[in-house]
Amino acid sequence: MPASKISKDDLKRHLSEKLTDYTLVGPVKSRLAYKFDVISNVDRLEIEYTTTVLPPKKQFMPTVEPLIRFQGDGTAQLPLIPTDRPVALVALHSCDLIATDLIDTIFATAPGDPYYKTRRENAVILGVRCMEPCDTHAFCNAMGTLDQKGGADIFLTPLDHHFLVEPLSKKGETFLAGAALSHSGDEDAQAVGRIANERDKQFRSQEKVDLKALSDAMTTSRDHEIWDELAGECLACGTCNITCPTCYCFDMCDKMELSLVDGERRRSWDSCQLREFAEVAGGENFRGTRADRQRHRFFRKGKYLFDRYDLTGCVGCGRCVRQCVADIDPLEVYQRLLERRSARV
Amino acid sequence: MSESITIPEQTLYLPIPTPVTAVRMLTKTECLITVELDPDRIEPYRPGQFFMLSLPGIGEAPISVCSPPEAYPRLQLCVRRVGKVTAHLHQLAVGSTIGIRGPMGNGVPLEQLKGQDLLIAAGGLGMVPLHALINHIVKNRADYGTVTVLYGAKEPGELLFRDELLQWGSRGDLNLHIAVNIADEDWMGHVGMITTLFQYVSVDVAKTAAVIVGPPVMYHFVMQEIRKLNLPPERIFLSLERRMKCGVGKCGHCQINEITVCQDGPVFSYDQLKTLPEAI
Repeated sequence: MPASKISKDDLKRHLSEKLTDYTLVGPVKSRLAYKFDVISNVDRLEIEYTTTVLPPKKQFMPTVEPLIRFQGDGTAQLPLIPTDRPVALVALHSCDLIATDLIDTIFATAPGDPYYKTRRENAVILGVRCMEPCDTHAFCNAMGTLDQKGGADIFLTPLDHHFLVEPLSKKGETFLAGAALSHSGDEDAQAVGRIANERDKQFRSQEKVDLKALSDAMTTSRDHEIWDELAGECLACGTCNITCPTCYCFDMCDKMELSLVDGERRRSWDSCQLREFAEVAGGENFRGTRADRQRHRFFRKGKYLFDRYDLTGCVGCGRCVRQCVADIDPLEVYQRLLERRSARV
Repeated sequence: MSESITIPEQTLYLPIPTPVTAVRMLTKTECLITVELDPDRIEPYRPGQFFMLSLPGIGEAPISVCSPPEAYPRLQLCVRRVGKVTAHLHQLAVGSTIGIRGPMGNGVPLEQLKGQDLLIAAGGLGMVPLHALINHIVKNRADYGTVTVLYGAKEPGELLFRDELLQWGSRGDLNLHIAVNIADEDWMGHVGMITTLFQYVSVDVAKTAAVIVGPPVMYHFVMQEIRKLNLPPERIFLSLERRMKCGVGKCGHCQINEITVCQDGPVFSYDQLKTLPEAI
């Protein structure tokens, strides 16, 4: 357990002081929900929050970003990503920390993505332990991401009047330099244990999803009736992809200025649930039905990424089901697939 | 050929401006674009690989290598006019510049094919990457055993590289069989699907490899014929077509199961594809 703590006021004071060197990004209250936003006044920052609508991936991979700039003379250039001020990304829940690990893996795997890596390397990440379930949709406990620290540089655990503080990297230690840390004793560790115990009972499902078993179950579930059932409900709107912290698929298209000589090649978030996602120029569509696309979505979360990188593609944040008009719930899908598997065995 | 070039990560999505040295219409819908690659920035390519071609303001599209590796640093690309980018590529003039990224993908495993008898089956535009392979074989003929080429097209007017087909057919060391689905008045050759050409094929199972490129619908039928030949799956190679945006394994469009076609393919052995649902 951590040996340091900081009072809640002192942490805010420290973050405020850091504004001179860092661009601070963290959860703020929006009209209807929380969102990650740039913060110039730490009073807006809500370190203890229920989860945001959009995941923090937008910090490293904006919804739309220029990859190439074209000049009038026909030459193309890379846009520069400013790194003069490091970014402090504050108060990521464990689900988002693990999701960040996954996208780090993919975008750092050779050939590495320069845009993502530049932003990522420029950021210090402060994680925060969840002391209660975000709501009735979250199932991070079932996916094994609850309490995980992932690639956080600092991990905070909120108690009544202070945070326990764990620096996890050199970057984290540098960020904490000068903070009013004090010693944290066993009683704090015990308090965390007590709260976590109570917290765990409040999740909607107490059962852990066995990730290996899920991947195996998917292998034999290509023809499962669930895909057609989901296809009957899914509106193919792509909201699940947009709100998912581990979805990173993108489209690339050119945008010219009115002059038609200068312009940009941009990438923007894309969604495998949209009909044209796997369609080729001749009109052939390799995932032409909603059932194909739902299966692809869930197999990607539960099987493809797990098989390739040994990381869960679903972190149980619950964002997709929270926003899904058709109430499609990944945990229910996983449980159905695992059920049939155990019925067969 | 030059040594392999290390492409700096910073230029992952940056097209290299490349001069167009020739443009020739092959059919009503396909044109052959010749470009001169910058050997300091673009490494040698292999049959079965592809390049991302782009025009500023229009967009980018993956296009198969059409010329043999021996042509490097010259590169030929055969482009069918099917969409926005390809329509603009068709309007290119000699002396203009296009953006190029690549070569991408694994390509045909030439090392594995060496010393083998080869059965090559091309359906429609599948002849484009196979044109690169066949020309490579022709230039290194002693490296291969018996070579049989099956080529199926919808109609005679869609046959690509007609002058070269004549040359290949008259070489004497290359068995070329061509089929068209629908003949016209001038067509004197075989009429039927490409599968009907297999009646002319006999292979030595012990030392034959097959390379097949065509539209997905062709694979279903051609594979039935290939299976009858009892070739081992690890010596049957197919190239897959997929929507691609980045070409570097990031954008997710060409993902099949845990692989990305642009990085792990586009050429796969049948052995690999058998365990890849959705592949064909």
